Amino acid sequence: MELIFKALASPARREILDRLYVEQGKTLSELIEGLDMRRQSATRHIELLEQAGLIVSHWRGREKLHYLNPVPLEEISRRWLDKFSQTKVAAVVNLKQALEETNNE
Amino acid sequence: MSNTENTPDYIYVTVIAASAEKVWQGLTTAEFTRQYWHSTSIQSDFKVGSRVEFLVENDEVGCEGEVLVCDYPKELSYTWAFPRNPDTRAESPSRVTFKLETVAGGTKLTVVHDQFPSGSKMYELVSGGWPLVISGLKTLLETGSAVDFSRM
Repeated sequence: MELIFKALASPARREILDRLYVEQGKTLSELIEGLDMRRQSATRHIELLEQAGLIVSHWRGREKLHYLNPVPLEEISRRWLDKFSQTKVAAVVNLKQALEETNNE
Repeated sequence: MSNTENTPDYIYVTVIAASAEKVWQGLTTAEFTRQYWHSTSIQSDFKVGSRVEFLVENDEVGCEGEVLVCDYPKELSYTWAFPRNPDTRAESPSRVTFKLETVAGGTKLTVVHDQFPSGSKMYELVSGGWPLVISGLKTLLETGSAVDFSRM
């Protein structure tokens, strides 16, 4: 979990994810094309994104292709959104009961 | 979309705290799929060449395909088509592959979707769908509770 937030905390790493969101299966060269980022630092950013599970890779011969894996983000949103939705449901149920009780009085 | 046959279009990965057998069961039985896979019931005998159908309300078929690989509990692959959807009716099928590996902490599930025809509408349709389905399966197997898709 810490790794995911650490990975997302860097604008450069978010840029890399944005690029993969637009087009999956990019090589390192394609990923940094037009960016002010050295290969070496891009490699480090990608390593961190891989450790966080946000990027997965596939080897096509000697070429490493990068893919955005949004599943960990879905798990994070679920972790809190589900709780909020339960609270909302409870609030609506309470409101309904309160209103019905008032009507019956 | 990739133009090379062996290049994936999408790859999704998660680790589920459950055995590979359990994850396989989650992917292949209707009791499980209807709880997390957009309320659909999967139907197949999972023999190579057999049909796979995702039944929606009134037992109508939603997505469907044909089993390509079935290697319990390691790899399952089938074609993927959605003839009932006007946007994807005329498209040739794409391919979905599930790979299950036992790792520390459970089972690593890799889902690869590839072989989309060029200009595929299905390619656009599935991009948001798989993360929901995969994390829904993870939640279900790890907590035993279903996901409420009615609010999505």
